[in-house]
Amino acid sequence: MATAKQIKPKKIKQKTDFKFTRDLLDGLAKQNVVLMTGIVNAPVIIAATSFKKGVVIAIAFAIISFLTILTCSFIPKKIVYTLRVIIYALVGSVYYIPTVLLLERIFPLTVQLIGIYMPLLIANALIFSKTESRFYLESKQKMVIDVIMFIIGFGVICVLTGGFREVICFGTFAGVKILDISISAFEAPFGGFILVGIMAGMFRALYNYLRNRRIKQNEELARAEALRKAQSEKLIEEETISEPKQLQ
Amino acid sequence: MDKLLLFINTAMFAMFVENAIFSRALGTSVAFYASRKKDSIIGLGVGITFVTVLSSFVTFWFDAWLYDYEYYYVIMPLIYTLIVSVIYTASLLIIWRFLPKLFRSIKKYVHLSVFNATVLGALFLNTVYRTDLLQYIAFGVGISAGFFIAVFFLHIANERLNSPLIPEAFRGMPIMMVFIGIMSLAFYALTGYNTGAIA
Repeated sequence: MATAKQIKPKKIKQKTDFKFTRDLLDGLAKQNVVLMTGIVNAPVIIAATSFKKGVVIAIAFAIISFLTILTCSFIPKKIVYTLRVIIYALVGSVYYIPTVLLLERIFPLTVQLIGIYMPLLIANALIFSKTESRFYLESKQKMVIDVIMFIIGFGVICVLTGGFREVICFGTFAGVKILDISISAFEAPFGGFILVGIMAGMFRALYNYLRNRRIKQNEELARAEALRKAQSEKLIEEETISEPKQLQ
Repeated sequence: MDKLLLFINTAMFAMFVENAIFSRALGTSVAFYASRKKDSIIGLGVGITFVTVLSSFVTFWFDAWLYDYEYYYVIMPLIYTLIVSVIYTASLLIIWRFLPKLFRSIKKYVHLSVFNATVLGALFLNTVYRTDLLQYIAFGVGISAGFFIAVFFLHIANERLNSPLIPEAFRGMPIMMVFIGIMSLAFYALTGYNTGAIA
Protein backbone atom coordinates (compact mmCIF):
# COMPACT_ATOMS: atom_id res chain seq x y z
CA MET A 1 0.00 0.00 0.00
CA ALA A 2 2.79 2.32 0.96
CA THR A 3 4.58 1.78 -2.34
CA ALA A 4 1.37 2.41 -4.25
CA LYS A 5 1.00 5.71 -2.46
CA GLN A 6 4.57 6.67 -3.31
CA ILE A 7 4.08 5.79 -6.98
CA LYS A 8 0.93 7.93 -7.26
CA PRO A 9 1.99 11.03 -9.21
CA LYS A 10 1.36 14.47 -7.83
CA LYS A 11 -1.20 16.59 -9.60
CA ILE A 12 0.59 19.21 -11.62
CA LYS A 13 -1.31 22.38 -12.33
CA GLN A 14 -1.24 22.71 -16.08
CA LYS A 15 -0.73 26.07 -17.69
CA THR A 16 -3.47 27.03 -20.11
CA ASP A 17 -2.07 27.03 -23.61
CA PHE A 18 -4.18 29.94 -24.73
CA LYS A 19 -3.78 31.26 -28.25
CA PHE A 20 -5.86 33.88 -29.95
CA THR A 21 -7.11 31.89 -32.90
CA ARG A 22 -9.34 32.86 -35.80
CA ASP A 23 -12.28 30.86 -34.40
CA LEU A 24 -12.49 33.29 -31.50
CA LEU A 25 -13.86 35.82 -33.98
CA ASP A 26 -16.69 33.47 -35.01
CA GLY A 27 -19.23 35.31 -32.90
CA LEU A 28 -18.70 38.51 -34.87
CA ALA A 29 -19.39 37.15 -38.35
CA LYS A 30 -19.27 33.43 -39.08
CA GLN A 31 -21.68 32.54 -36.29
CA ASN A 32 -23.37 35.88 -35.72
CA VAL A 33 -26.44 35.10 -33.60
CA VAL A 34 -28.75 37.39 -35.57
CA LEU A 35 -27.67 37.20 -39.19
CA MET A 36 -25.93 33.85 -39.52
CA THR A 37 -27.48 31.41 -37.06
CA GLY A 38 -30.62 33.42 -36.25
CA ILE A 39 -30.85 32.06 -32.71
CA VAL A 40 -31.45 35.43 -31.04
CA ASN A 41 -33.65 37.62 -33.19
CA ALA A 42 -36.93 38.50 -31.43
CA PRO A 43 -35.59 41.66 -29.71
CA VAL A 44 -33.99 42.84 -32.95
CA ILE A 45 -37.06 42.18 -35.11
CA ILE A 46 -39.73 43.56 -32.80
CA ALA A 47 -38.15 45.88 -30.25
CA ALA A 48 -35.14 47.43 -32.00
CA THR A 49 -37.08 50.07 -33.92
CA SER A 50 -34.82 52.98 -33.01
CA PHE A 51 -31.13 53.59 -32.35
CA LYS A 52 -31.72 54.20 -28.66
CA LYS A 53 -33.77 51.02 -28.26
CA GLY A 54 -31.07 49.09 -30.08
CA VAL A 55 -28.43 50.41 -27.68
CA VAL A 56 -30.51 49.58 -24.59
CA ILE A 57 -31.26 46.04 -25.82
CA ALA A 58 -27.59 45.49 -26.68
CA ILE A 59 -26.45 46.64 -23.21
CA ALA A 60 -29.06 44.54 -21.39
CA PHE A 61 -28.24 41.52 -23.53
CA ALA A 62 -24.52 41.97 -22.87
CA ILE A 63 -24.86 42.24 -19.08
CA ILE A 64 -27.39 39.43 -18.64
CA SER A 65 -25.75 36.98 -21.06
CA PHE A 66 -22.15 37.54 -19.99
CA LEU A 67 -22.79 37.30 -16.25
CA THR A 68 -25.14 34.32 -16.60
CA ILE A 69 -22.79 32.35 -18.84
CA LEU A 70 -19.82 33.11 -16.63
CA THR A 71 -21.64 32.20 -13.40
CA CYS A 72 -23.17 29.04 -14.83
CA SER A 73 -19.78 27.84 -16.07
CA PHE A 74 -19.03 26.94 -12.43
CA ILE A 75 -22.00 24.56 -12.21
CA PRO A 76 -20.67 21.00 -12.11
CA LYS A 77 -21.22 18.95 -15.24
CA LYS A 78 -22.35 16.04 -13.07
CA ILE A 79 -25.80 17.62 -12.95
CA VAL A 80 -27.68 16.54 -16.08
CA TYR A 81 -28.40 19.25 -18.63
CA THR A 82 -32.16 18.72 -18.31
CA LEU A 83 -31.86 20.09 -14.76
CA ARG A 84 -28.89 22.40 -15.27
CA VAL A 85 -30.97 24.45 -17.67
CA ILE A 86 -33.25 25.44 -14.76
CA ILE A 87 -30.28 26.97 -12.95
CA TYR A 88 -29.31 28.90 -16.11
CA ALA A 89 -32.81 30.38 -16.32
CA LEU A 90 -32.87 31.28 -12.63
CA VAL A 91 -29.40 32.86 -12.70
CA GLY A 92 -30.42 34.87 -15.79
CA SER A 93 -33.54 36.18 -14.08
CA VAL A 94 -31.54 37.13 -10.98
CA TYR A 95 -29.10 39.17 -13.09
CA TYR A 96 -32.06 40.75 -14.87
CA ILE A 97 -33.06 42.59 -11.66
CA PRO A 98 -29.99 44.88 -11.28
CA THR A 99 -29.70 45.22 -15.06
CA VAL A 100 -33.20 46.58 -15.54
CA LEU A 101 -32.95 48.82 -12.47
CA LEU A 102 -29.69 50.29 -13.78
CA LEU A 103 -30.98 50.81 -17.32
CA GLU A 104 -34.20 52.31 -16.06
CA ARG A 105 -32.22 54.99 -14.27
CA ILE A 106 -30.36 55.89 -17.46
CA PHE A 107 -33.08 55.30 -20.10
CA PRO A 108 -36.43 55.25 -18.24
CA LEU A 109 -38.73 55.72 -21.23
CA THR A 110 -36.83 53.43 -23.60
CA VAL A 111 -36.91 50.52 -21.15
CA GLN A 112 -40.66 50.94 -20.86
CA LEU A 113 -41.06 51.03 -24.65
CA ILE A 114 -39.09 47.81 -25.09
CA GLY A 115 -41.71 46.15 -22.89
CA ILE A 116 -41.76 42.35 -22.64
CA TYR A 117 -38.66 41.97 -24.83
CA MET A 118 -36.51 43.18 -21.95
CA PRO A 119 -37.31 40.30 -19.54
CA LEU A 120 -37.34 37.90 -22.48
CA LEU A 121 -33.58 38.42 -22.79
CA ILE A 122 -33.17 35.91 -19.96
CA ALA A 123 -34.49 33.19 -22.27
CA ASN A 124 -32.00 33.73 -25.07
CA ALA A 125 -30.42 30.87 -26.97
CA LEU A 126 -26.88 32.07 -26.25
CA ILE A 127 -27.45 30.99 -22.64
CA PHE A 128 -29.42 27.81 -23.29
CA SER A 129 -27.85 26.38 -26.44
CA LYS A 130 -24.47 27.92 -27.20
CA THR A 131 -23.20 27.27 -23.68
CA GLU A 132 -23.48 23.52 -24.09
CA SER A 133 -22.47 23.28 -27.73
CA ARG A 134 -19.52 25.70 -27.54
CA PHE A 135 -18.67 27.88 -24.56
CA TYR A 136 -18.42 25.22 -21.85
CA LEU A 137 -16.24 23.03 -24.03
CA GLU A 138 -13.53 25.71 -24.07
CA SER A 139 -11.03 26.83 -21.42
CA LYS A 140 -12.27 29.66 -19.18
CA GLN A 141 -9.98 32.26 -20.79
CA LYS A 142 -11.04 31.32 -24.30
CA MET A 143 -14.68 31.13 -23.25
CA VAL A 144 -14.68 34.67 -21.88
CA ILE A 145 -13.30 36.12 -25.14
CA ASP A 146 -15.63 33.95 -27.21
CA VAL A 147 -18.70 35.08 -25.24
CA ILE A 148 -17.64 38.72 -25.57
CA MET A 149 -17.29 38.30 -29.35
CA PHE A 150 -20.77 36.76 -29.62
CA ILE A 151 -22.19 39.58 -27.52
CA ILE A 152 -20.45 42.22 -29.66
CA GLY A 153 -21.76 40.46 -32.78
CA PHE A 154 -25.30 40.73 -31.47
CA GLY A 155 -24.87 44.27 -30.17
CA VAL A 156 -23.52 45.67 -33.44
CA ILE A 157 -26.36 44.20 -35.50
CA CYS A 158 -28.98 45.25 -32.96
CA VAL A 159 -27.77 48.87 -32.88
CA LEU A 160 -27.36 49.02 -36.68
CA THR A 161 -30.83 47.58 -37.28
CA GLY A 162 -32.33 49.97 -34.76
CA GLY A 163 -30.56 52.96 -36.32
CA PHE A 164 -31.47 51.96 -39.87
CA ARG A 165 -35.12 51.38 -38.96
CA GLU A 166 -35.29 54.75 -37.23
CA VAL A 167 -33.94 56.45 -40.35
CA ILE A 168 -36.37 54.80 -42.76
CA CYS A 169 -39.35 54.88 -40.42
CA PHE A 170 -39.08 58.42 -39.10
CA GLY A 171 -36.24 60.05 -41.01
CA THR A 172 -34.32 60.57 -37.76
CA PHE A 173 -31.15 59.12 -36.26
CA ALA A 174 -30.82 59.06 -32.48
CA GLY A 175 -33.66 61.56 -32.39
CA VAL A 176 -32.06 64.03 -34.83
CA LYS A 177 -33.93 64.73 -38.08
CA ILE A 178 -31.71 63.84 -41.05
CA LEU A 179 -34.10 62.82 -43.85
CA ASP A 180 -37.56 63.78 -44.96
CA ILE A 181 -38.92 60.24 -45.37
CA SER A 182 -41.29 58.09 -43.38
CA ILE A 183 -41.95 54.43 -44.20
CA SER A 184 -43.77 53.38 -41.05
CA ALA A 185 -44.20 49.78 -42.25
CA PHE A 186 -40.65 48.99 -41.17
CA GLU A 187 -41.60 49.67 -37.58
CA ALA A 188 -44.09 46.78 -37.66
CA PRO A 189 -42.99 43.17 -37.05
CA PHE A 190 -43.34 42.23 -40.73
CA GLY A 191 -41.00 45.05 -41.64
CA GLY A 192 -38.54 43.78 -39.05
CA PHE A 193 -38.71 40.22 -40.37
CA ILE A 194 -38.24 41.26 -43.99
CA LEU A 195 -35.42 43.68 -43.14
CA VAL A 196 -33.53 41.17 -40.97
CA GLY A 197 -34.07 38.47 -43.61
CA ILE A 198 -32.63 40.66 -46.38
CA MET A 199 -29.78 41.81 -44.12
CA ALA A 200 -28.98 38.17 -43.27
CA GLY A 201 -28.95 37.20 -46.96
CA MET A 202 -26.70 40.11 -47.91
CA PHE A 203 -24.40 39.48 -44.96
CA ARG A 204 -24.06 35.81 -45.92
CA ALA A 205 -23.39 36.72 -49.55
CA LEU A 206 -20.66 39.16 -48.49
CA TYR A 207 -19.20 36.66 -46.04
CA ASN A 208 -19.16 33.87 -48.67
CA TYR A 209 -17.59 36.22 -51.22
CA LEU A 210 -14.82 37.26 -48.83
CA ARG A 211 -14.24 33.67 -47.72
CA ASN A 212 -14.04 32.38 -51.29
CA ARG A 213 -11.67 35.22 -52.20
CA ARG A 214 -9.44 34.39 -49.26
CA ILE A 215 -9.44 30.68 -50.16
CA LYS A 216 -8.58 31.57 -53.77
CA GLN A 217 -5.78 33.89 -52.64
CA ASN A 218 -4.40 31.22 -50.32
CA GLU A 219 -4.51 28.66 -53.13
CA GLU A 220 -2.71 31.01 -55.48
CA LEU A 221 -0.09 31.77 -52.84
CA ALA A 222 0.41 28.05 -52.19
CA ARG A 223 0.72 27.40 -55.94
CA ALA A 224 3.23 30.22 -56.35
CA GLU A 225 5.20 28.94 -53.37
CA ALA A 226 5.24 25.42 -54.79
CA LEU A 227 6.38 26.74 -58.16
CA ARG A 228 9.16 28.79 -56.58
CA LYS A 229 10.26 25.79 -54.55
CA ALA A 230 10.30 23.60 -57.64
CA GLN A 231 12.28 26.20 -59.58
CA SER A 232 14.86 26.61 -56.81
CA GLU A 233 15.22 22.82 -56.56
CA LYS A 234 15.74 22.65 -60.33
CA LEU A 235 18.38 25.39 -60.10
CA ILE A 236 20.25 23.55 -57.36
CA GLU A 237 20.09 20.37 -59.41
CA GLU A 238 21.46 22.16 -62.47
CA GLU A 239 24.23 23.74 -60.42
CA THR A 240 25.25 20.39 -58.96
CA ILE A 241 25.38 18.89 -62.45
CA SER A 242 27.34 21.80 -63.97
CA GLU A 243 29.88 22.05 -61.11
CA PRO A 244 31.69 18.77 -61.88
CA LYS A 245 31.86 19.80 -65.59
CA GLN A 246 33.58 23.06 -64.65
CA LEU A 247 36.05 21.14 -62.50
CA GLN A 248 36.93 18.89 -65.43
CA MET B 1 -72.35 29.99 -22.76
CA ASP B 2 -70.95 33.50 -22.35
CA LYS B 3 -67.89 32.08 -20.63
CA LEU B 4 -67.30 29.65 -23.47
CA LEU B 5 -67.61 32.43 -26.04
CA LEU B 6 -65.21 34.59 -24.05
CA PHE B 7 -62.76 31.69 -23.88
CA ILE B 8 -62.91 31.12 -27.66
CA ASN B 9 -62.71 34.84 -28.35
CA THR B 10 -59.59 35.27 -26.21
CA ALA B 11 -57.95 32.16 -27.64
CA MET B 12 -58.63 33.37 -31.21
CA PHE B 13 -57.22 36.79 -30.31
CA ALA B 14 -54.04 35.20 -28.99
CA MET B 15 -53.82 32.83 -31.95
CA PHE B 16 -54.17 35.37 -34.75
CA VAL B 17 -53.76 38.92 -33.47
CA GLU B 18 -50.99 38.15 -30.97
CA ASN B 19 -49.56 35.21 -32.92
CA ALA B 20 -46.41 34.00 -31.18
CA ILE B 21 -44.32 33.96 -34.36
CA PHE B 22 -45.96 36.23 -36.92
CA SER B 23 -46.87 39.11 -34.61
CA ARG B 24 -44.47 38.76 -31.70
CA ALA B 25 -41.47 36.75 -33.01
CA LEU B 26 -41.51 34.71 -29.81
CA GLY B 27 -39.47 31.54 -30.12
CA THR B 28 -38.50 32.02 -33.75
CA SER B 29 -35.33 29.95 -33.41
CA VAL B 30 -37.29 27.09 -31.81
CA ALA B 31 -39.81 27.37 -34.65
CA PHE B 32 -37.00 27.03 -37.22
CA TYR B 33 -35.74 23.96 -35.41
CA ALA B 34 -39.19 22.40 -35.04
CA SER B 35 -40.25 23.09 -38.63
CA ARG B 36 -37.64 20.66 -39.99
CA LYS B 37 -39.43 17.51 -38.80
CA LYS B 38 -43.10 16.71 -38.41
CA ASP B 39 -42.47 14.77 -35.18
CA SER B 40 -40.77 17.70 -33.48
CA ILE B 41 -43.66 20.03 -34.43
CA ILE B 42 -46.10 17.82 -32.55
CA GLY B 43 -43.72 17.17 -29.66
CA LEU B 44 -42.79 20.79 -29.14
CA GLY B 45 -46.36 21.95 -29.75
CA VAL B 46 -47.73 19.66 -27.05
CA GLY B 47 -44.89 20.56 -24.66
CA ILE B 48 -45.33 24.30 -25.13
CA THR B 49 -49.13 24.09 -24.78
CA PHE B 50 -48.90 22.05 -21.60
CA VAL B 51 -46.35 24.32 -19.90
CA THR B 52 -47.96 27.58 -21.08
CA VAL B 53 -51.49 26.66 -19.97
CA LEU B 54 -50.40 25.32 -16.60
CA SER B 55 -48.05 28.28 -16.00
CA SER B 56 -50.79 30.74 -16.98
CA PHE B 57 -53.04 29.18 -14.36
CA VAL B 58 -50.40 29.53 -11.65
CA THR B 59 -49.17 33.00 -12.65
CA PHE B 60 -52.72 34.34 -12.43
CA TRP B 61 -52.66 33.84 -8.66
CA PHE B 62 -49.23 35.39 -8.30
CA ASP B 63 -50.32 38.37 -10.41
CA ALA B 64 -53.43 38.79 -8.28
CA TRP B 65 -51.29 38.70 -5.15
CA LEU B 66 -48.28 40.77 -6.17
CA TYR B 67 -49.45 43.03 -9.02
CA ASP B 68 -49.68 46.16 -6.88
CA TYR B 69 -46.16 45.76 -5.51
CA GLU B 70 -44.01 48.61 -6.87
CA TYR B 71 -41.16 46.43 -8.12
CA TYR B 72 -43.21 43.49 -9.29
CA TYR B 73 -42.18 44.00 -12.91
CA VAL B 74 -38.54 43.58 -11.83
CA ILE B 75 -38.98 40.32 -9.93
CA MET B 76 -41.68 39.01 -12.28
CA PRO B 77 -39.22 37.14 -14.58
CA LEU B 78 -37.68 35.40 -11.57
CA ILE B 79 -41.10 34.35 -10.25
CA TYR B 80 -42.25 33.17 -13.67
CA THR B 81 -39.01 31.25 -14.22
CA LEU B 82 -39.47 29.58 -10.84
CA ILE B 83 -43.05 28.62 -11.71
CA VAL B 84 -42.04 27.25 -15.11
CA SER B 85 -39.10 25.38 -13.53
CA VAL B 86 -41.30 23.72 -10.93
CA ILE B 87 -43.81 22.64 -13.59
CA TYR B 88 -40.99 21.42 -15.84
CA THR B 89 -39.33 19.39 -13.06
CA ALA B 90 -42.60 17.91 -11.82
CA SER B 91 -43.71 16.91 -15.34
CA LEU B 92 -40.30 15.41 -16.09
CA LEU B 93 -40.36 13.38 -12.89
CA ILE B 94 -43.83 12.07 -13.66
CA ILE B 95 -42.87 11.17 -17.22
CA TRP B 96 -39.60 9.58 -16.06
CA ARG B 97 -41.44 7.50 -13.45
CA PHE B 98 -44.45 6.37 -15.47
CA LEU B 99 -43.43 6.72 -19.13
CA PRO B 100 -39.69 5.98 -19.32
CA LYS B 101 -39.80 5.32 -23.07
CA LEU B 102 -41.32 8.74 -23.72
CA PHE B 103 -38.80 10.33 -21.35
CA ARG B 104 -35.89 8.92 -23.35
CA SER B 105 -37.32 10.21 -26.63
CA ILE B 106 -38.09 13.75 -25.42
CA LYS B 107 -35.03 14.17 -23.18
CA LYS B 108 -32.99 15.82 -25.92
CA TYR B 109 -35.35 18.67 -26.76
CA VAL B 110 -37.73 18.93 -23.81
CA HIS B 111 -35.92 22.01 -22.45
CA LEU B 112 -36.59 23.77 -25.77
CA SER B 113 -40.34 23.52 -25.21
CA VAL B 114 -40.08 25.00 -21.72
CA PHE B 115 -37.34 27.59 -21.59
CA ASN B 116 -38.16 29.54 -24.69
CA ALA B 117 -39.55 32.95 -25.50
CA THR B 118 -43.00 31.57 -26.41
CA VAL B 119 -43.79 30.28 -22.91
CA LEU B 120 -42.33 33.25 -21.02
CA GLY B 121 -43.68 35.70 -23.62
CA ALA B 122 -47.22 34.33 -23.20
CA LEU B 123 -46.93 34.79 -19.43
CA PHE B 124 -45.62 38.35 -19.76
CA LEU B 125 -48.36 39.25 -22.25
CA ASN B 126 -50.96 37.82 -19.90
CA THR B 127 -49.69 40.17 -17.21
CA VAL B 128 -49.78 43.10 -19.63
CA TYR B 129 -53.45 42.44 -20.53
CA ARG B 130 -54.31 41.52 -16.92
CA THR B 131 -57.65 39.73 -17.37
CA ASP B 132 -59.49 37.04 -15.38
CA LEU B 133 -58.46 33.42 -14.82
CA LEU B 134 -60.46 32.06 -17.73
CA GLN B 135 -58.88 34.53 -20.14
CA TYR B 136 -55.41 33.84 -18.73
CA ILE B 137 -55.83 30.16 -19.61
CA ALA B 138 -57.50 30.95 -22.95
CA PHE B 139 -54.61 33.25 -23.84
CA GLY B 140 -52.14 30.50 -23.01
CA VAL B 141 -54.04 28.05 -25.20
CA GLY B 142 -54.26 30.60 -28.02
CA ILE B 143 -50.57 31.50 -27.96
CA SER B 144 -49.56 27.84 -28.04
CA ALA B 145 -52.03 27.07 -30.84
CA GLY B 146 -50.73 30.12 -32.73
CA PHE B 147 -47.17 28.84 -32.36
CA PHE B 148 -48.27 25.41 -33.61
CA ILE B 149 -49.99 26.94 -36.67
CA ALA B 150 -46.97 29.11 -37.47
CA VAL B 151 -44.54 26.19 -37.21
CA PHE B 152 -46.83 24.11 -39.42
CA PHE B 153 -46.78 26.86 -42.08
CA LEU B 154 -43.00 26.99 -41.84
CA HIS B 155 -42.80 23.22 -42.20
CA ILE B 156 -44.86 23.34 -45.40
CA ALA B 157 -42.69 26.14 -46.81
CA ASN B 158 -39.42 24.66 -45.58
CA GLU B 159 -38.75 22.40 -48.56
CA ARG B 160 -39.59 25.02 -51.18
CA LEU B 161 -37.61 27.72 -49.42
CA ASN B 162 -34.52 25.54 -49.53
CA SER B 163 -34.80 24.79 -53.25
CA PRO B 164 -31.93 25.59 -55.66
CA LEU B 165 -34.13 28.35 -57.17
CA ILE B 166 -33.34 30.49 -54.13
CA PRO B 167 -29.93 32.24 -54.25
CA GLU B 168 -27.43 30.33 -52.11
CA ALA B 169 -26.88 33.15 -49.63
CA PHE B 170 -30.61 33.46 -48.95
CA ARG B 171 -31.28 29.75 -48.55
CA GLY B 172 -32.31 28.66 -45.06
CA MET B 173 -32.76 31.27 -42.35
CA PRO B 174 -32.78 34.52 -44.42
CA ILE B 175 -35.52 33.44 -46.85
CA MET B 176 -37.46 31.92 -43.96
CA MET B 177 -37.37 35.34 -42.27
CA VAL B 178 -38.68 37.04 -45.40
CA PHE B 179 -41.39 34.37 -45.65
CA ILE B 180 -42.39 34.96 -42.00
CA GLY B 181 -42.45 38.69 -42.78
CA ILE B 182 -44.92 38.17 -45.61
CA MET B 183 -47.05 35.85 -43.48
CA SER B 184 -46.87 38.41 -40.70
CA LEU B 185 -48.19 41.05 -43.09
CA ALA B 186 -51.11 38.75 -43.92
CA PHE B 187 -51.83 38.26 -40.22
CA TYR B 188 -51.61 42.01 -39.71
CA ALA B 189 -54.26 42.47 -42.36
CA LEU B 190 -56.62 40.50 -40.10
CA THR B 191 -56.44 43.31 -37.58
CA GLY B 192 -57.02 45.93 -40.24
CA TYR B 193 -53.49 47.29 -40.36
CA ASN B 194 -52.90 49.83 -43.09
CA THR B 195 -49.39 50.49 -44.37
CA GLY B 196 -50.47 53.91 -45.58
CA ALA B 197 -50.00 52.94 -49.22
CA ILE B 198 -53.77 52.81 -49.74
CA ALA B 199 -55.81 55.68 -48.46
